[in-house]
Amino acid sequence: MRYLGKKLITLIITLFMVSVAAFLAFQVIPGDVVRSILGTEATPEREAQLREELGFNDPPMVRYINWITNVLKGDLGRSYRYSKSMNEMMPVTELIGDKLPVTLWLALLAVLMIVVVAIPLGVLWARSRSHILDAVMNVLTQTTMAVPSFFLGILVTYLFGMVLRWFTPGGYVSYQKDFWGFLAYLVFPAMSVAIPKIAMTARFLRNSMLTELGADYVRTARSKGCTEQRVMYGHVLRNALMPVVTFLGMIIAEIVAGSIVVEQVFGLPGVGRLLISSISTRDLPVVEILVLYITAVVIIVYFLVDILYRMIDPRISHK
Amino acid sequence: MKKQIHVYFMVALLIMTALGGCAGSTGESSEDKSSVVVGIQQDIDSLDPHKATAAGTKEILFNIFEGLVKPDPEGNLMNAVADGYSISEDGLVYTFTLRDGVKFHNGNDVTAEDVKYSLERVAGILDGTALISTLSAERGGIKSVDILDNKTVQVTVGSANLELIYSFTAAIIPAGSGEDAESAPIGTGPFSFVSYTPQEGIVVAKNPDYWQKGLPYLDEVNFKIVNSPDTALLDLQGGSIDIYPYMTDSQATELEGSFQVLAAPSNVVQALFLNNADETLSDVRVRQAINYALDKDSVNEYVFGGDGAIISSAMLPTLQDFYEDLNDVYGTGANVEKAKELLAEAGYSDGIDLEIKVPSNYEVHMQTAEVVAEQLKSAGINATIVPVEWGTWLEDVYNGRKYQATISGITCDQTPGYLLNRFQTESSKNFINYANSAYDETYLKAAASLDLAEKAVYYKELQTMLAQDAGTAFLSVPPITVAVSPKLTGYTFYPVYVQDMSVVRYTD
Repeated sequence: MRYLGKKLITLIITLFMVSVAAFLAFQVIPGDVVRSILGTEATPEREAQLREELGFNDPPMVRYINWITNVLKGDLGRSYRYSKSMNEMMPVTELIGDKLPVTLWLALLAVLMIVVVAIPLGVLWARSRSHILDAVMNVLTQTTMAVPSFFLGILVTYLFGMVLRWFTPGGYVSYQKDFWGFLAYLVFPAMSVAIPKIAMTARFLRNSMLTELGADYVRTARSKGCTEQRVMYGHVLRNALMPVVTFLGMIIAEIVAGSIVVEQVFGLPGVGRLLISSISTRDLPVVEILVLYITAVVIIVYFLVDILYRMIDPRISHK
Repeated sequence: MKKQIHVYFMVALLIMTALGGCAGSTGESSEDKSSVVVGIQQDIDSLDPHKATAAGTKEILFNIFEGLVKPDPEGNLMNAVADGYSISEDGLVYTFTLRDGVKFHNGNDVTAEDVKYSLERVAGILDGTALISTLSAERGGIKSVDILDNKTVQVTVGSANLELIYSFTAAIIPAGSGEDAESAPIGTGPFSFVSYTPQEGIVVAKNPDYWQKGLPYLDEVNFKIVNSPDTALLDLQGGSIDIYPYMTDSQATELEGSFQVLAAPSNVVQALFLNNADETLSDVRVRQAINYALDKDSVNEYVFGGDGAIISSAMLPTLQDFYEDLNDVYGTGANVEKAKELLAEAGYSDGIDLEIKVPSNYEVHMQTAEVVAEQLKSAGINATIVPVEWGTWLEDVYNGRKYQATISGITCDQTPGYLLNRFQTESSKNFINYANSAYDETYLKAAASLDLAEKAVYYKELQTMLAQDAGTAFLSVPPITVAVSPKLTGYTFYPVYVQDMSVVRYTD
């Protein structure tokens, strides 16, 4: 319990610091939101009016404090860029809430693929005595790990979209319109996210298992007459999986936080794309919340991994 | 062992395939013959037709809204909500007769009240904030709008201006609907608004009551945001978009054969804009040297595949009556000797440094900058390209005027004066800091003129002055290159930014 409380305080402090940093960054980088909204047709009157509407006449310190108190009260603010009606700007919650499911589903699919494919693959690889398989896997994982995800995205689009015609590139359907069509389209971006991670995880698991196989307890288990199956799955895999869990946690955090590049390549209107366009239009309220979201996801996932770790290995909590 | 391996691979492969296989029918590509997906590059800046300023938004809203008059493909105005108008001899009173049977998308007839409301809204008579600056009550635009009878509206303007009629393309919306224009826009155009999702796009549907009988052909048009031009190519080939209006020359080449690739001159005047207030560039000889050093022919060849129009004046050649061909002043090829000579005369025999800020979101301007920088180097002008974000460009270059040179374009609506009034010394849009009192005087004469022929003479004079002073280095009118699916026909170019979907239809 004390541990949990400590973690929570760290979380809050980190979030606070990140929010200040994001806010400050926008004070420093060039480009003014009012001018960017009005474009070349800006007149001094309209500029002044908009500046007043957006509350830009207050000093930055006051604006930050106003914003953070509102966030603490649960009001995440309103976008500078998107309006809901003539006198009302779009609430950030609405804007992000609309995009979040896209990124979350993408992440879920990708993680599913990673777990389903990488773990059997890693075990198989560790058990294999075949040099050929070993060499093939080596080359295969090395290359897929090295391919940048945008390029992999283009390859996947080309192969499955243009040659095999299993999906229409850019033919994203909104989840509100057709959920199954949406999911089916997501398979391919998820694949592009998953492939390098599958290679990494499989490799990691294999190395971890090989290390465990050399441990004393394996010899003991064998000598007491355990079947090879039992040695492998009951002892080695269980121990070998521990570092893999941490590794998976890191990967999950990375994917959930936004698969920015893959979203661009596949034209997915997810959180990553929103972040990019919000930065370029200087839509500070949206950027702030997105940055906080990403930070929170990373911290929380690490926290969960930590707990999971304790559950798999009771030794840690005793220490 | 080996068997097991095979099994594992088969399973993994099966999972991938199964997951993929069910995706066969994904995509909203228009299999049916009633809807079309148009790829657009930018998000909408406002659905309120009076508030939208981005060219990329206006070209879409053209399908939803109409003014009393509207542009036609030839570059003239046609009657829309009005079916005729007359202008008093002193140019101060406009009388519009409304067309019978024009309905809003909500089913109501357009009345004189709606026209009055819309015009008063844009002029700022309603609440003090003018939404369209040329019609602004405070700046000599609309002074008052009077309803003569339920089919006739009389508009009195503050100052006579022959080009003001182009501003009556301002959308007519139902009286009192301004508040909701952002969420539920209602107009009289060939398509009615269905939905808008930020970052995704805007969907419009056929207006069955449209006053031009037989139009539109399509039941639905989906304007879909395509973020990067690279994915646009895949989207076109894959069939998820049918029309994409912003092809680069190299993309167009790639699509030839499988798509209809159409090109027409845009309404953009592209130039290497020079800041006349810069220390080095304040010398007219330096600016002339830059003009001589440019090889506009090869810019056109490399960047636009020869489809652009070369210009040396501030006017679009398509505005024929007002355009003065000044390509002979500095020539369209490079004259390096002359450029070096002028630089030496100005005291820069060792050459000069020139920083060119380019808005990096415009691929065309970036490519042009690369070609131009090389050309300038051979004349001893050491040009460096500084790519900046659009927001930064607006701040530093356009509004702040803190730059030496920039490559960019001025988008012109149909009024030729728009391209020239910005170079008056005191104009807030004079971002090149051009200062010539003779120019200012002539411009005022042109603006006051009530005779088109006389006006044209003044306009040509202005272009000549600007060219001789080398106020800036005009380059070209880039082409618009549009990819259209071979299944479609009827795509029509306008001399202004417009994506008119009402005339697009499927073949057979």
